[in-house]
Amino acid sequence: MLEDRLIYKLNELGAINRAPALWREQTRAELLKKIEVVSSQPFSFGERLVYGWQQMRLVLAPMHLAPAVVAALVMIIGYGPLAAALTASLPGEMLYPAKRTVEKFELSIRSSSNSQGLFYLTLAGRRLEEARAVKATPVSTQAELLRDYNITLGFAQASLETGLPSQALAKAYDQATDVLSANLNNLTVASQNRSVYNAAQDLTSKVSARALALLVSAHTSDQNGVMPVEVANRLTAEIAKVEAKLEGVDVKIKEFPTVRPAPRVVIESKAAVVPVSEASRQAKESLTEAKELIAKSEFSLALAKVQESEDLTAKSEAAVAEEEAAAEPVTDQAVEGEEPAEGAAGQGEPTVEGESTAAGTGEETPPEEQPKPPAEAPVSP
Amino acid sequence: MKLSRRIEEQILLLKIRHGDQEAFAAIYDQYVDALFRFVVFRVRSEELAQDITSELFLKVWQHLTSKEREVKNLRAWLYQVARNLVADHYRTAQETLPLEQVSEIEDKSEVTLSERLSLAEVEKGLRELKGEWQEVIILAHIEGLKHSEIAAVIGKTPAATRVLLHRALKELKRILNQS
Repeated sequence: MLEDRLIYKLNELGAINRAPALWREQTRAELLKKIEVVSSQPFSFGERLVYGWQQMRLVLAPMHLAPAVVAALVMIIGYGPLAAALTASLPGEMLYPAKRTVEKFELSIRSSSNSQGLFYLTLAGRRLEEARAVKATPVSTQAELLRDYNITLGFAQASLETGLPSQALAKAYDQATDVLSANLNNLTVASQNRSVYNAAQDLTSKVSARALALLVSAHTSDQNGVMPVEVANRLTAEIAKVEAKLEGVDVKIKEFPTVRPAPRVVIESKAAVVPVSEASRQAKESLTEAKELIAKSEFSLALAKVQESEDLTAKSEAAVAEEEAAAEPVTDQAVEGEEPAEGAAGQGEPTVEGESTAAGTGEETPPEEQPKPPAEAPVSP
Repeated sequence: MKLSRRIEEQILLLKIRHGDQEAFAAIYDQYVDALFRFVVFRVRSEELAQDITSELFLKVWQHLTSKEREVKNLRAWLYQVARNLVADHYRTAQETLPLEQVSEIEDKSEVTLSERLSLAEVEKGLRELKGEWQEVIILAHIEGLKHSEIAAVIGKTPAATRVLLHRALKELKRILNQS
């Protein structure tokens, strides 16, 4: 019969693949590059239920048990105040293990590196929030939370390296690490937890620097995404942060007694040890050059200068803090800070709560990794 | 649609809503050939079909990640988006979409036609078909959509879709007979 034959022929037409393979692959790559991962919104409670329900139906449908199980689940965990309590629960509370299980479940739903990476950032933020809420009591809980923060942020860092490079992703990481860094600076930390806290700060700075570098490089390679003004503004903001830190360093330098030798900074790239005031001057010089490069839209070079300046500034801050600790008179009084302590540069230092240092000064122990210039190292002119 | 497939589809959509690029890539891999075929039949230009199909997937991502609207049947919804983009193209290019025309079917021998029916002829006849007739035949017999899915794509009831499909096949036979 004609109609059957005609339909058969039409079916045959459906078996012919018309999309050119090269176009198909190119379009796929372009689309994945274009589409933006703009948020790491956690799954809503309703979505978790829907997802769980769908999974359960898949498994239990043959047994016709799904409706009963779902009804029971909704009754148990769908109760609004209980869901809110789950979200707000802290370590040591009954619901906290359930909260962490839900997080693992949410993570398992996300299959792409980018999506997982953004969720890891969200989780790192939650660990910090919990560390803030438990304060320094008990000390071990806070240390555990900070360790979890480091592990989670480490996963986020790995996802950033392995995921599909995207300007939106770099931007999201940049913004998230900015918030994490600010929250870290405002955290009240027990002195026993300084080591893990310092590691958290280092890691946050690294991820933040990497995100900024990716943002700049993504702009340079594909100028259709992030606007030049946006990159310029972001670099300018970074410069302002370094300048604020340098101001703090300069204030401290002026306070040092002139009878003592000025603290020194090792500059590996120049194989030299210079007085901290010189390091500060060089850092400012790099920032001035960075500003000029931004004006010329030479963003990659400007970023390199900013990073150079950041490195010098961090070393100067460390040297100044070490000098301060050495010059501080020994007292028996321990410092208990409810508010964030002013650090060497007025920021970036945590409050030490209720703990004396090994030296019994009541002040923060200087970071272990602070560079100590060798006594015989040559001093640059 | 099988339950397991529907569930998998809903999970993919849930993941996309939360910015999962790999879930989006899975949907692209699954549907790009079929959607391109549908578009290329409708616009008759491979280059234009490529542009429209690329735009289609971008719109799909934007829609799924920015709105809460539930997509019940992904396949039908994708064809609906493709259909709208083709219509947009004709509107922008100020071309008119071919209108439905009910033509009288010439009485020619079906046996003769059946014997000489080749793929190229069927494709040519299909390209000559007008508007919705072409769409419903492509969706039903080339892409394998159910009547209910086609109804969702073209915005008609399943019953009206069945009538439309019947008329479309009659018209295609008439064109093939003429040629």
